Amino acid sequence: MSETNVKGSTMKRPSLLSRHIPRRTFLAGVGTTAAGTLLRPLFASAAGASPTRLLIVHRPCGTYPVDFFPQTGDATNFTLPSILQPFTPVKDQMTILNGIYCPRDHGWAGDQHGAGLITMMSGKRPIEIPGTSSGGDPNAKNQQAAGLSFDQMMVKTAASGLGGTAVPSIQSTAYRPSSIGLPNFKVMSYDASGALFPESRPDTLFNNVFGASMPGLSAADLERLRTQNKSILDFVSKDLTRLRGLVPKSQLPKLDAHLDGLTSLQAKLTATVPSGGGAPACKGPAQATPPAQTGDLTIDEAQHKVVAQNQMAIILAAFQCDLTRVATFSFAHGNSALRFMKIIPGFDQTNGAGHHDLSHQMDRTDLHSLVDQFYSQQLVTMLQAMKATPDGAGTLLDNTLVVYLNECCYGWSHSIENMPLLMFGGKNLKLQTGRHLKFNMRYMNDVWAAVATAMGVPMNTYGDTAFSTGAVSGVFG
Amino acid sequence: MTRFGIYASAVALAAAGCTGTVGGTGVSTGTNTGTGTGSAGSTGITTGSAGTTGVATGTGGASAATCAASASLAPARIWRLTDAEYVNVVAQVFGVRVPAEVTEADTKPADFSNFSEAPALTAQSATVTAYQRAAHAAATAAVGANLGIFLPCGKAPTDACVQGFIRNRVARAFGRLVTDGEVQDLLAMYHTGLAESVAAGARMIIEATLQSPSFLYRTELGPQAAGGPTGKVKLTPFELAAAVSFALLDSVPDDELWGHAVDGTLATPAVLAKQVDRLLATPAAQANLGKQAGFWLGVEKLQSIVPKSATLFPAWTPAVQQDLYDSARLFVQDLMGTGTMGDLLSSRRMFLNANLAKVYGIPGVTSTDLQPVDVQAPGRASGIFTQPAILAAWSHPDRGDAVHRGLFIYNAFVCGPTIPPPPPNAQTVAATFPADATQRELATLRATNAAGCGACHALFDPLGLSTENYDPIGRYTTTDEKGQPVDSSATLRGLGPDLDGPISGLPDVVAKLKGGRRATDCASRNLAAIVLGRSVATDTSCAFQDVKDHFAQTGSFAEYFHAMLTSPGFATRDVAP
Repeated sequence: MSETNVKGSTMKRPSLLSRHIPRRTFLAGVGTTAAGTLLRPLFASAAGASPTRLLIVHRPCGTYPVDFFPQTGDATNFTLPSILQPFTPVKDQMTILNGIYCPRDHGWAGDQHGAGLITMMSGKRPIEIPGTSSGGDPNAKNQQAAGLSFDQMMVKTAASGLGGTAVPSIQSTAYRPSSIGLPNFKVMSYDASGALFPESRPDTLFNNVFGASMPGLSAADLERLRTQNKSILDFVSKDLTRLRGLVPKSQLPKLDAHLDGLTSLQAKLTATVPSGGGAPACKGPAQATPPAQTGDLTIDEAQHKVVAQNQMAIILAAFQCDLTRVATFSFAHGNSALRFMKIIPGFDQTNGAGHHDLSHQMDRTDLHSLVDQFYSQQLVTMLQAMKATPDGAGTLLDNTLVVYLNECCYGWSHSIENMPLLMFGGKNLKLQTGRHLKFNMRYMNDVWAAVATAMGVPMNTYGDTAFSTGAVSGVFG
Repeated sequence: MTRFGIYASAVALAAAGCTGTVGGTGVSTGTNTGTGTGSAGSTGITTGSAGTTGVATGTGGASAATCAASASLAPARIWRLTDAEYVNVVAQVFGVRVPAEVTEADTKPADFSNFSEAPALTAQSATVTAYQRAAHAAATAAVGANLGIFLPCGKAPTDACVQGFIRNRVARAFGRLVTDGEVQDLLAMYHTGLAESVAAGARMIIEATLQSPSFLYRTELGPQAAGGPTGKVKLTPFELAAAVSFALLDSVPDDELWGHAVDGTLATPAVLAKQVDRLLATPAAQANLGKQAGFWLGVEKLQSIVPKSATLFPAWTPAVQQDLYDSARLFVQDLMGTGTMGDLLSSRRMFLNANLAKVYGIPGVTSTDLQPVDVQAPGRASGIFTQPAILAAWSHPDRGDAVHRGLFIYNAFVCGPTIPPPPPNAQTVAATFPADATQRELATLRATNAAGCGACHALFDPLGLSTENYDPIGRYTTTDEKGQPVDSSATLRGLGPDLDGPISGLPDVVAKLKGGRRATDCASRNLAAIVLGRSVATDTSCAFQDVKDHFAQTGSFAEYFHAMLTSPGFATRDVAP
């Protein structure tokens, strides 16, 4: 509280009863540090069926393509360059897409990172947030997607089988500034209501996903909790209905929005625990305690790696428990100020530039590629965990399509040609893995159209038709 | 979760431009007429960063002759609690202080954002989920600490005991009496929890309370009417008590104020006036008003600046920045309690400890705590303007910033025509200026270049130049960045006859501001946004006109809040047809 910041203030505490709750105690109620095993999935689909999941991961600030794309060999026989080397353990479940263009014109107004991310995800030219102005900023930071992002379109399209879960989808990041302010270069997912900001705090994300399901509780305790929550939320609903009948028309949108949130919360907290066996065990996410901010490290720098792993572990657990089937995760946004000299061992200690600034240093591609390699290492940890998680007849990685993208190609020029693009897993979609696939200038929209088609939503063009030339072939068998 | 920094009004205002021919005082229409809708209520006070709009249109608003006689000071509405308010109410009603981040990360905004119609105050799905978690944690902690206080009737509380808890505590959280139906529902819930324990039953009652819209939304709707109120309504005594209490304390009514709501006596003007004065005199109210006024006065801006260059300003440390922030908070808080506009504009008071005194060259301060000192050193006689916190807040990390210092003075005390955002080519034009140009040279380039920057900058750059005697960390200096003697003279133009003309520095600006109603009227507007949760830039009510007149006569901040909260227009709400 702010008043305690004022030294010498005579302000009294508001109540004699006041008692500070240590943050640890506050969080303990949701079991954020627990990695307990649930007796059975909370919201499992019919036993035996293994749904397809979609995970889209974003790392920012472009890349140095020479260190990203294999420079020799052919489609199946190639050597992984430095950035991709960490993916060696999953090389046979990886597809490199070479020659995919960001579906936009370089001349479009707007922050290049923002336009890139929005366009990669939505396939259309960004629009200004209704009711806002660019404020004269040539980077026009007040932009958002013109429609649904690909992940949200899949959630909303019944044929994909990706919707209908207790938690419709997850949006997360490992960089606090990505969660606040204008959506522009920070937000991957857009639904009909606009930007879905990614959550940067693992404890909050945990609760948003798992609610009070509390991995680790016994079946009897879970059932009691469900009964209690139902009783509480029934009262809250009744109160909302009462108030709704008393407000003037101008105030209804506030309560309608609240009702939407409450409906989704009710579904999450009171869903019936399925009886009968057959589904594999569903585990709560392993969560490490992020280190505290120290010295001149920002809180994000100190915590980036652990938070990234925690966020991905939550996604993994949510997939495994079938709480959700769609997630987007952004390591950080395109103007990331993370100083990797502080967090990557062996990094050139004289280069104090943040990630974005570093990406503009044409003479330090060596360092920029080290950052990309760091992100490969972070992602491969998640991929290997998915690979080790049984799911249906195979593994969670088999049943998940992981798309790993960036908002530009060359970081220093914000180039939009030949985007660094990878896919992993997707065995149930017949993703042609272990390949280095070369395309002759095809748009990301054509890739999304192929993904949708593979997921049971036949599609020839996705996004802006001026930036679509039909679904690419050869990615899915 | 989202807080957009760029608002609707900018759209149309950008087109209006600074013509240089805009009037000064008096009724000012036109620039806002027929402009975009959308985020109404999102404008209002800002502390003047480029790209956001400040207080719109001229200083006058309505004059006594033209004001709307019966208009209320706010529309009928519901208003979601801020996270800070949530924390305050939980502490007051249930006796536990929960972490500040109830629904969203605490980002220390520079601008006041608690507008009842702000998009950020519309709950998103994640917000509702966050409330569930916060309620569960707070209720668990409250029961753990205070169960014996909530249910002081042995190990097996009777239903009557539980009902007493509901009628006392839940009512206070809701800001109204609970209905018999609600009591029965909550009692039934208690019995559900009793299957686990007494504590679980009590926890569930609190958990439900803290997630209920009756708690999460303050209502200003008047007596209950199916389908909502119409026309004009009078706030119920409970709503009036809450409106007064949230304005002054950012929390629900205390026992005495609540008592006057329960027995209905708060509707009596004399009772209301006495309650307002009682609360205004409390340190808690002064601390809260000081915090809120800090958004208007640039204090909060200091929380989000880029740190000053360690090379150029080794004296600037995180400790200095924190002390400066606290110092400015205390300065403003002090004035909100017992001070006047005159003090705000020309007090010599600073709150200093030994460390700050050393950095700013003030002799004779040895305390480690911040103490009030009436500073006799040169350049510290202009109140808020010469608080180093504010000067540092409106400076670049490595150089001065006449633009934003000027905009700050303009938005906080001049309330001239709205400054539109810079045009798209602004950065391109600025890039052509010499890299080593001084603030004065830059101002001249902006005023004279062919691109026409001067059309707007001429309104506020000269105000900024009057602060040239203060370096980027707010130290008083008589030499500029090139080692030349500081020239803080300028000529104010386009602001109105009360302000236009030559000035030789900050004291001249202050003298002009103190010479008429300009600054008090502008202050009235900025403070009204805080109290009412809406921009009054286009308000034409006689109620607000009366408040402005009263403040102009007395200059006392306590009188301002008294006038506002006891105004007939504060006790009613209008419903848009």
